Amino acid sequence: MPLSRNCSPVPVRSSPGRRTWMSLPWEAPPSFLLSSLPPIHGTLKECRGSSGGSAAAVAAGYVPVSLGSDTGGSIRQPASFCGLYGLKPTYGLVSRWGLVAFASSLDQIGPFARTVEDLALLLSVIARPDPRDGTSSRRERPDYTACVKNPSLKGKKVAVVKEFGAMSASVSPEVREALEKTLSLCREEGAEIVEVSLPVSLEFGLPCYYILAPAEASSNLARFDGVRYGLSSKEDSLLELYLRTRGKGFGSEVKRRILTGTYVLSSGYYDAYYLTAQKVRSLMKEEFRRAFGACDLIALPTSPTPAFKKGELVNDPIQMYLADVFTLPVNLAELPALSLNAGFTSGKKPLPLGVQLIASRWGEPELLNAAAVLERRLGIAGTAPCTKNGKGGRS
Amino acid sequence: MNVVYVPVIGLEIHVQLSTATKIFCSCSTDYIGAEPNSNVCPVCLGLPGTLPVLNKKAVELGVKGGLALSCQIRSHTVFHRKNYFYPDLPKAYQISQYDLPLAEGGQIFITGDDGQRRRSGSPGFTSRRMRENWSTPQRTAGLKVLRFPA
Repeated sequence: MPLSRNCSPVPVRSSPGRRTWMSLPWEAPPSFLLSSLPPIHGTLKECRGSSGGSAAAVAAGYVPVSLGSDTGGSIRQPASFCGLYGLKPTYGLVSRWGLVAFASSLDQIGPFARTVEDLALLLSVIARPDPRDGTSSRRERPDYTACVKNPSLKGKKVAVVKEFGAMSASVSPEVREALEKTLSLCREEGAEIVEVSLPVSLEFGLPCYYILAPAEASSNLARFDGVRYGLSSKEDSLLELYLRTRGKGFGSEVKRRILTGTYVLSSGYYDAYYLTAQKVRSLMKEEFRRAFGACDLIALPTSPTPAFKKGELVNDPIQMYLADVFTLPVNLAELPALSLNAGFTSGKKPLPLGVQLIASRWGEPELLNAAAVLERRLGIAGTAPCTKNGKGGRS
Repeated sequence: MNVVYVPVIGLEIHVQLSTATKIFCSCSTDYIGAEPNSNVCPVCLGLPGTLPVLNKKAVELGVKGGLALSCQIRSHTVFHRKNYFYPDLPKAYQISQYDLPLAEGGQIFITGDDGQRRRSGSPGFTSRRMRENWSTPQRTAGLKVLRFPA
């Protein structure tokens, strides 16, 4: 990445989540890197994905910070499972040049870190305009590191979402408690807790995403055909080349998405699915815009549950999709959001619990400010790896 | 019974705009006499991670041509992807225009052999669309070779 020439990068091997052929989006597969790490928090749990490798590397103390990409929650989810800070920037803040495209209107690159200060520092390095990316915003970036210097929530309005009440049965009690605790801390620090309503985003965000993202992916992944580069199956006909190469080169979840995407874009179904989903997306953007007229930040869980067991949901894609219900609407609305560690589960092997803060467009300063206040109060910044008492692993 | 048939002839004309660089990247368009695969870059080769950036001059020339043909120029125009698989199609889609092209409508006047000046049928032009084009596949001794001339 050209930007890193200016800031003495520490070379690290690339982690599995972002290979060209796109590994399974959520279940970051075992690899030489992951298998050599002490199991996350002493358990064989998923670090989630798709940037799970990047998150695992930071959580285990191999690197102080790392980069991931977030299309539907792929930075925030692993940050939540691994007890880290993970930020998905506003669409257009960080250049997508060099990022193998999944869903071009949803993808954003963002930082992982163990402290808010490091998160802000890495964000300030990568959040630059880029003439090579037509969607890169040219607006002036504020000093993100300044946001964490004297943070305060006095006078800020932090919102709960009205529709979350009806969904809370599908959220684990510990996640709900972590959210409540975060809101109490905000209140103690001088914020006012208000309520906003996001009916379309919470009810239709998931199906909307699972039409638009696969549609874009089916187009972006079509170039992997064995003709110019990469895996190429030796076949007798052009069609066989395409079919066999792509059949062997893509994992099952990727294939599922390509098929879904091709279907919703096909003649006869385009209007009913893709076009309708685009209209729903517009409604979601409008809904968030209205909500931010009444608040500065919206608080939701990142994930409905703490980390699940390795391989637990591989054969249940629908269950896996449901776990993204709180993160997907953020990408569809092109907003920034941050996942912070708000505590741990009880029991012998405590697991991190993530809470998500969402801000309006270009609201990264609001997110970093709030995270810095909560970091002071929650008192688990800077431990490596992210265990309950900060012991074990490397630093 | 006499039936009179009136011929209606439509022409799809592809015009290469005289820009110095390509429509979505900074590669030179001066391909005459150039070695194959010399005026290429990651963007026009469609390598993963690359992104197109629209050539301003191409839009200016497109608008100019549209005005010359009395077209309506859109203030909001959209590029769409035409997705299909073919070896000479690097991204497996062509960036083109579909229902919201740069220019629409318009007409030209043609003087026929009979000296009569006629206006092209209404609507004269359905649209002027901007798009990208590229390589020539060649068959060489049983191998299919992709040459990217421009």
